[in-house]
Formats: sequence, C-alpha cells, structure tokens
Amino acid sequence: MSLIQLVDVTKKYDEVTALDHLSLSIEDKEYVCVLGPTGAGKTTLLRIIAGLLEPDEGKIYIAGILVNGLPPEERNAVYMFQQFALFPHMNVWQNVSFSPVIKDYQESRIKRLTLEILEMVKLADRRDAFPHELSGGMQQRVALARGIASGSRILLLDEPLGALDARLRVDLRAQLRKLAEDQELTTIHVTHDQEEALMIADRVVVIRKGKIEQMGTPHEIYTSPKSAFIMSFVGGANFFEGNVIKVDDSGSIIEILDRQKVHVSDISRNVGEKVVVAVRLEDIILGKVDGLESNIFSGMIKSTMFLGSSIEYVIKLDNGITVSSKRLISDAYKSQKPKEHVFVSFLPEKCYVFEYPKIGLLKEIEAI
Amino acid sequence: MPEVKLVNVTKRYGNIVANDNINLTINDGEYVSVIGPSGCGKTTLIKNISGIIKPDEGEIYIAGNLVNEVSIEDRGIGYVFQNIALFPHMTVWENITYGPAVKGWSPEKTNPLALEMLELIKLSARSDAYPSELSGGTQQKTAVARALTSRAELLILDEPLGALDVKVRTELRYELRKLVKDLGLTALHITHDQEEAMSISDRVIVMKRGRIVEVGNPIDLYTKPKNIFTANFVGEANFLTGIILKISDDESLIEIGDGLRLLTKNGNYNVNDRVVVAFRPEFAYITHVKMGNTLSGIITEVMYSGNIGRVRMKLSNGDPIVIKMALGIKNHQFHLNDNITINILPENILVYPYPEKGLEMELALE
Repeated sequence: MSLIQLVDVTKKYDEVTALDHLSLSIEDKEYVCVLGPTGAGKTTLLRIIAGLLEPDEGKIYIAGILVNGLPPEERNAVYMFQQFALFPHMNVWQNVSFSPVIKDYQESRIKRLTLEILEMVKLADRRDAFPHELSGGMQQRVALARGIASGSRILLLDEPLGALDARLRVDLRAQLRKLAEDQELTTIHVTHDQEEALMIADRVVVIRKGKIEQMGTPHEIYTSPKSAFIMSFVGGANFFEGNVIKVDDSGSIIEILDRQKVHVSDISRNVGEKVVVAVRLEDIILGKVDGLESNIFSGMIKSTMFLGSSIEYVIKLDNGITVSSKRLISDAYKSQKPKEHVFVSFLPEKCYVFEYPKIGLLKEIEAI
Repeated sequence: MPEVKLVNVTKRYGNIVANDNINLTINDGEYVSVIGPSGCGKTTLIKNISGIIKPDEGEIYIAGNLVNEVSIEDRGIGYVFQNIALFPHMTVWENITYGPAVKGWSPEKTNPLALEMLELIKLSARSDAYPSELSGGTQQKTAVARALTSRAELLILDEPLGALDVKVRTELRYELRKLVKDLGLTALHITHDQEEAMSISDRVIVMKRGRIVEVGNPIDLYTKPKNIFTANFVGEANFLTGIILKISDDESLIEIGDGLRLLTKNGNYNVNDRVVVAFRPEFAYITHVKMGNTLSGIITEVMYSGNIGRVRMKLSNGDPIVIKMALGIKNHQFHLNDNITINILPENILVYPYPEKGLEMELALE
C-alpha cells in the first residue's frame, strides 16, 4: 500500500483552480520531486498533504488513514520551506532539540538524539552558534536537522534549496538525497529546477495548471516526454510545426514551412495531420552526419553562449528557422564562431512528434 | 560613457572586512558579473559603487570622476534589484513608464522603448494588468523592465533574475545581455548562479572573503582557473592530491597514490612538490584507443541528468571521482560495479600548489 495517497483532490482559490482533480500515490521511502512552472499548484499540493490547507474536494490518506481534517502535527509529516524559519534567539542545539516530539523525552535521550542528528548534517561543531552566525546553507541544514528531530517519517520540502548559491545547491542536493535515504524517510520535494529534480528523484511528477501532466523516472520523463510542454519544460528542445505528408514503415515525412521536409522515425501520425516536431538541443549536430541524406540544412552561426560545462550555439538556417545546438565543452566544435557558415543535421530517430496543441505551440511551450 | 574604477577600496563592518583593498576597472560598454559565496562582499562592492554606502578607504571613479562624495542620484546609475516592489495601484504600462515620466521624457521617446521592453518580457498583452493580477515571476519581469526603461548608462543588477523560474531566467538572461549591448550600457551584474554569470558576461569577477580572487573571461575562468577556489566555485571539478615525480620541458609527471600517475602540461614545479591536480568531470573521455592519461576504477553510482550521464567511480588509490558524458549519439550504458577506464588529456589537467591550510579549507563554500 502506498504511504501517501491523494484521491481526486481539488483546491480552488476564488476563480483559480490550484489543484484540479489530482490523484497521486507515493510509496514508502520514495523520493519524489514535484516539478512545474510558477503557479502550477506545487506548493498547494504540498500544503494540503502537510495539513496546512484543506482541499475543497477529495481525500488524503497517510499510511492508509484518512487525514482530511487532521491537524498538521498528527500527520507524521514535517513541512519545510525555502525561508528557513529558525528561532533567531536560540542556538543551533536549542533549535534542533526544540522539537515538540522530543521535548518530552528524557534529557539524556534528547541529548543523544540531537547530537546524532547534528553529526548527520555535519554541524555538531557549530552547536553553540546562533542562526545569524551561520551561512544560508548551514541554516538550511539546521532547519533540516530540526525537521528530522521531530521524528516524522515524511519530509515535505518546498524549494528547500531555492535560497542558496547555485554551486552550494549542487552539493546540498546530493547530501539531502543521501540523508533521506539513510533515515529511510519518504520525501516529496517541490522544485522548479528541472536539473535538481532529474538528479535526485526516484520519480518526477510534472504538474501544470493543477493537473499531473506526466510522471515517471527522471529517465522516462526526459526520454519519453508525453507532450511538447514536458519536452520544453524538462530539458528543452527546438520545435517546428508542420504537416504530415507521408507515412510508411520506415518513417514519416513532415513538411515544415514551404516545402522543407523533415524525416522522422515516428509513424504514429496520419497523413494530413498538423503536428509539432521537436529535437533536443544536444541532438542538433553541426556538420553533416555520415550516411544521412535528409534533415540537413545550411545556415549561419548567430551566437555562441558559453555556459561552463557546455556551449550553446544559435544557428539561423537559410530557410529562416532558428535552431539551437548544445554540446559539452569537452565535445564542442572548437572553431565555430558567429557569422560562420555551417550545416545542421539531425537523425530521424531523434525527432519527437506531438499532436499540434489546441492552445497553439507557443502557449504550449511557454512555461509561464 | 562610464568606465568604473576602484582604487584600494576597503569597507569594514566591525571586525569583518567586507571589501578588502579592492582594485578593479570595468571598461566602458563591458558586461561584468560578480560571483562568490554568500558573505564574500559582492553586495558591499556594488553598494560602494552605487553610493548606498561609503568606503572606509580608497577611491571610486565613474567615467573618470571621483564619486566618493557624490550622492546616489547623481552617479547616473540604473538599478535592478531582486525584490523591487512595483507600484500596486499602477498598471504594468504605468509602472514601466514611470521612471522616464519623472525624468520628463516625452511619450515619443518613452513609448517605443517601453513597448520593446514589454515585448521582451512577453507582456505586451498584459500592459493594462495590475501587479496583483500577475504571478510572482511576471511581476519580477515587470520590475526588470521598469528599471531598464528608466535607463542610465551604468546599470547595476543585483540578482535581477534570482526570483524567476529557471526556464524563464535562461531566456531572459540572453535578452538582458543583448539589451545592454544594443543600448551600449556598462553593466555590473551580481548573481549566485555561476552559469548565468558565464553566459552573460564579458568578464567574471570571483570574490571570496572580501577580496577579488580572480578576474577573467568566462572560458578562461572555467577551463584555466588560476586557483583552486575558482576551479571549484565556477563549476564541478575533481580534486586529487599528488607529488611531482618527474619534470621535463613543459610537462610534469604526478603520482596520485597507488602507483597512479598523471602526465600534465603544467611544468612550473619541482620534483617532490606536493600538489593538487584537478580536472572537470566532462573532460574524461571513453575511447577505444588510449588517449592521454588513462585511469581505471569501479563505478559506484550512476545518475542521469537529461542526456548527461554522471558516473561516480572509485580509483584504485581509493579516491572517488565524478565523470560526465553526453549520451547523445554514442548511447553509452553505465552499470554499477563495472570496471571503467577513462582518458584524460594532459592539457585538461590543472595543477596547483598544495594549499597551506589544506585542500578541504580551500574548497569550503561556506
């Protein structure tokens, strides 16, 4: 049985539907990341599980028990958000041992438990420091330690790393994941950072406008996106709209713009259908691929952007379309400079094909 | 046109030296970012330049003029802050044209620029909306547009994109740079996002404990950082300790334990020197033929971030390292506990003297 179950949960704020008949099951000890654009309903989802909000409709079960109406402290879940709410007048030790659960324990047990948890978050030697004497990362670790000291088995994390330096976030997310695993906690981690979600989650739930758009392992979400929205929001891609003009066993041909043809391996669409073709940035190759006869376009490098471990090229094709290509810096084409003439190619099997979205392509992929 | 120059600038708060003898020139028309861990003094730096605080020592020049005693308003600086509050009773349009209106610009001058801003932030259709009707991210974008509309020639940006969704932020940063370049502004941009700094800047300043650690163009800073702290702060890297075994011309052979040896390009050391070698995870290649140095180990963890495979492996000397590889066309498969051999080119290995206070201290981000 799932540890946490949401059944047909709806929450409205006046006109806005924050959660729209959402159902979700989370297994014991699972690490789930909830990903979605601003306003998708991520925080509402977490607060409803925590008991800080009551849904308008639907049921919430924790360990098989219906918890609708139960106060937060009876749900065995601890809710942590971005702004670490530590008690400023208490030192690290006092903050961590303050937990309402352990404060009734014997003094020796409180001491042992607090020390153990502080060692876990590598802050035992800063036990006497006050919050303002600590860095943001340390404060967040104290908040986490306090959450764990509460004895709750469920961690509900709302952008827990959002207020931290990007570099520090990378270190802390791995620590966070390990901690949850070591302590056998069940974690729901809300983030708008797709890289964070892909790196640490067992399962990623992408929500959009109060509904689950797709869920699966990070690998599934990345390699088998269900919609242009998912493809755009997780990983990003180049999108072209076109019409299917031919389908046979070997693949389909899609006409983009006026008589420009793209060959795709996908054969799930019908001739005449309006579709969206999507190609990941890393699947756009600068140069011609040996043996490839279609999907080769000529163009000019418009700009190159250095991103640290990777480089992104923006290429304006002669047909007017702009495409982006991304390479790890270690695999990058060394000589590409703006204004340089290049060929761009991509393999038919690297093309995703989606039904043309009812709201239009731009609205679909604009994750705002 | 504004060049910004700081000469021996120091600012103390009690015992803490927030800016410690800073010397820096930002050229006219240059886009410069400042990065560094929390508390490194980057905010103090821009407060000194903008006139919000006065340095205890040193001189600040803007466009050749000493401005130490010049008030904030008279320094000709435009600001974008992370948490600018919009005027709640004004529409988007009124908010972004407020600055120019106060300055007495004519609508003919203001309107095209305001329209351009609205288009840039994809808000043309919402110009009549009030802030309360917009999402947090959209409000923030309006605030950016407002600050840019009442433009000055020197723009100071303090985490201007910090409150936005990653995807929006990525799109906007490119537009931000383009805008600054098109308008010929000088920009000083503070960010906690290294990738943002790399992608947007002509030069990046790395700060630590009140001092400038390193200044350089993004590619040099990433591929040839001059010190360990920078190497660690601007991106992920593996750090191993070793001893110089042999030196020839411009190459050094370094022993990193258990008989493992790395040939490196950097030859500026003596035999028996204790050193730190570093390389970025993506500069490990898996090839059929031997290429440069080879290292073998056991795979202890495999993670995928999109098309990038991240593999943690343990070398025979016990050191853990991380490698990163595009799965793209090659479609590599990695399996736990498999043996794996990687190649690292000598020119992609960085060598540093072993730090006096130890490696861990040098790598500390907090």
